[in-house]
Amino acid sequence: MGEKELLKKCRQGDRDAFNILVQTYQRQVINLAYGMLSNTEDATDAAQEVFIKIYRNIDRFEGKSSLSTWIYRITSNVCKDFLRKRTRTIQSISIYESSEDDDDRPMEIKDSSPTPQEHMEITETQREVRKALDELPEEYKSVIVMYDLEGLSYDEISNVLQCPVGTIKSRLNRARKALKKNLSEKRELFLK
Amino acid sequence: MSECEKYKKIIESVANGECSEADKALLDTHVLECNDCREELAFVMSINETLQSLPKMEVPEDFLVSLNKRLDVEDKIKAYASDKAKRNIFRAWKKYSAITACLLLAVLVQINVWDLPVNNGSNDVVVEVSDKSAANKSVSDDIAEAEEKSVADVTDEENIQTTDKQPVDEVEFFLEEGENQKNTSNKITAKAENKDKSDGLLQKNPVVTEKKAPVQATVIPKKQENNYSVESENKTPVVNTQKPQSKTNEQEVVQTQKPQTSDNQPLPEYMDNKDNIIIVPEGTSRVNFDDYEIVVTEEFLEAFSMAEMPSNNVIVASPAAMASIENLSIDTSAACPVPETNYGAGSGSLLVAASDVQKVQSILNKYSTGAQNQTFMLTSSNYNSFINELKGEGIEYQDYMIHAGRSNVAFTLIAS
Repeated sequence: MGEKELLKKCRQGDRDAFNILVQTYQRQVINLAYGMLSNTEDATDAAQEVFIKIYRNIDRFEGKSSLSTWIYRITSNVCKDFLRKRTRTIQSISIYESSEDDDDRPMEIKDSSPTPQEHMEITETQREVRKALDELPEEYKSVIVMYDLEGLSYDEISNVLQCPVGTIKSRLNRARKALKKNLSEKRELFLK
Repeated sequence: MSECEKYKKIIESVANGECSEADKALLDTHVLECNDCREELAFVMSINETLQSLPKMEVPEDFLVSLNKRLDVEDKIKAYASDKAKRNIFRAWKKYSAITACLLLAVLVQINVWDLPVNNGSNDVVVEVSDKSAANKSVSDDIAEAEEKSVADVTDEENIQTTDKQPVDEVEFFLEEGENQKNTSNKITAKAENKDKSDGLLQKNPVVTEKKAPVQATVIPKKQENNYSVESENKTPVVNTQKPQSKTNEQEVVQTQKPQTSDNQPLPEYMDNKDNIIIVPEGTSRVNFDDYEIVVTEEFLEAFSMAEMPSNNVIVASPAAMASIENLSIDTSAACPVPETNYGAGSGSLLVAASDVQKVQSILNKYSTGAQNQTFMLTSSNYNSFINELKGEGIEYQDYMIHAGRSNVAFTLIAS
């Protein structure tokens, strides 16, 4: 079944066709979300949210961009929303936290740091890069995740983020600088 | 910029994958000699490699199942929203259709209230046709004699039927009889037709009270041409019997029925085999009914509109009258407009002293838009101006049934 036929059936409410669409793109979506959110639980929730949005709005897809671009765009926006919610939650909690509490983690929010299992499966450098990536501003994180983690081209990223290619290149350059700066204290780890 | 700063920029371009071959060669040469740049290049390349080596997340096994559960909820929400929207539309439809129905009923009642019949207990519609002139006018002896003569000239092709079993085409037309016309009123009877034939324009039980203001039609035989005289002692307008120019075959429709007089005597033969109802508001047009002219009053028109006319009735009227006829929902498809030059016998009459006739005529000539014999047509504003001038000249007059409110006013000038 070609993409057009698939989309047509999805618009007609064919659930089986939609499931095929999900299975085709779920890996890219969930990994983009994981790259942005650095947390498997959040990535899974975000990915489901993405496909629910696609399900609701499949009729609005006009085909001006490719389906994958459209799906990536939705994923990027959903992840931005997740990051904003996470940031607001951390800030609101931190206001009422006792100053004597040295624990940086908010007590009543979900722990978004990598799980113990995730700690075991990745090297120390990977963990540090993941952590440094997580500390980047959202606009830097997205271009690095899309380019370096997901392997999208400058043009594809430009279409997803609806920014000129020059802007993408510039942003990527600044993102790498920021990432390097975040990892500067762990430089020795990367020079082994 | 130090040399190392220059090479660090090249290192950035290498990290971005945009380093040219020439710069790469230069950098490779430099890093052999510069530890800082060598470590910087190694650091940047390691970060890139680590980024690209970050493990991918596997899609949870229950991802599709849990997603479909959420999509089922989405479907239910969509269905509920759709039903709700339909319910809202239905509620709105009920509300607004009720309002619309009430408004429509009010409009229909408003339209029909003018034509609401008074049930006389029968399906017959009897419309009295009597002399329109309010004055004591009667058909002259000459006219009566001419009528008798013309009877023999008419070919009887169809009988006018008067029984109840006859269809609506039946028309009973009573003629006024000479000097006694005041006592003898003519009646036009149209029997109720099955509503299936009504074309939706007719009414089930059309009734017109016989006791309504009499509506008269004057039938003048053709041979009364040029009999009109302002100086008629009877003050009776003798109308021209010219046929309307616009008469076409469409006027000759439908079966005719033998009209009857009020005492159930058959009408003269010339009434046989005639077209059915030709309805013309008096004063706006004149119609030849075969060789005869029939001038009907507006009351007749109004009354007769309540009859269940056959759809093939012919209506001949002036353009002005056509509008009023159309408002009565009478089928005018076969109607034949009478040229405006065919004036009726007058929507009324204007009586002036015989000594003032010439002066009045000269004043009329200034205002009238047309004249035929002694029937004049004026616009409403001109008529008012004419009357004002009469008053200014001190000319006394009496007007009978002149409808000054119409866009065109027609009347017959009569010397009293």
